[in-house]
Amino acid sequence: MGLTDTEEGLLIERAKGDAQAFGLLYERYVDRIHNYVFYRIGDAREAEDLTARVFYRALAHIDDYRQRGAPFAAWLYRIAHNLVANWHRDKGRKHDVPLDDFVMIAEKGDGPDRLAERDEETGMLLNAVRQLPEERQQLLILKFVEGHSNAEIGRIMGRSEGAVKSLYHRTLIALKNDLSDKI
Amino acid sequence: MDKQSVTEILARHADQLNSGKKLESGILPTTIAVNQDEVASLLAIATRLKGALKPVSIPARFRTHLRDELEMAAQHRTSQKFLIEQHDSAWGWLIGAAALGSAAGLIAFAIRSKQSRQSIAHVVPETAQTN
Repeated sequence: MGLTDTEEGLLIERAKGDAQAFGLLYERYVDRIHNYVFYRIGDAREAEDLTARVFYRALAHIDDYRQRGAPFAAWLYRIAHNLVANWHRDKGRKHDVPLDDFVMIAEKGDGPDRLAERDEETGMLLNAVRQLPEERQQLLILKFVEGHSNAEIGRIMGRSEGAVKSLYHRTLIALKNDLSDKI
Repeated sequence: MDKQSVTEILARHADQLNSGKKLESGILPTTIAVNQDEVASLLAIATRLKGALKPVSIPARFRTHLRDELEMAAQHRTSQKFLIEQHDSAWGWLIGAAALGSAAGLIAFAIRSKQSRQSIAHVVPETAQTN
């Protein structure tokens, strides 16, 4: 659903008192929030639960949302971030990653050995991603899962385009160092 | 190669990965050999990341179920808000009426006390004269 900022602003205002408008906002953002949560915690079932909680919290506080430059997506990601942080704190599960859920992306057609090897590589990489500071994880998810441009990421994260590029550069260096330590 | 150039190369490379276009063979300036291995390894990590971080689809049943639940909760919230507003406005009228009543009572009391003071003042000199 492609909407201009003004159209989205109107939809948000409507959603403050209209259930169907809130449903439209949900449809617009549910995939993005679910992807974000999934890659932050690495558990499909828990990701569904947290995604639901993000939208319930958004519904409870939507009257407080004011469109002042920061897009609605940034507000939702902030809620998701807080819930993910609470989840990690409450469960103490930051290092307990169910790789079966994570590694569901091997290409079809690979032989079993290659698949296992690819799974291991991917698992290691995704684990390294999950050890990164939160803003770097968010950057990688927005860039590669959502396919946003640096300018869009900048709007969501409240940074300039140049700052996003630099953060991406530093993130790749950190990952490279982390992975080379493990190999 | 300076840091800024590397940052730009990495950003361009990521855009190409996202667009799904075939990568430009000349993304690394071949004339500058310094740090080329370093840059190549960062590009390789970015390519691996793009391969690993794929969108995951949300189960359709969960998606629909959650939307229905949220819409119901939103409806409930709207009707609650309406009731609260009605309640607030009813209380507002009551408090307003009470305040008006008190103000009117106070004014009446003030006028009455003023009148009774005047009548006492009027009676006292007459009594003094008779004595």
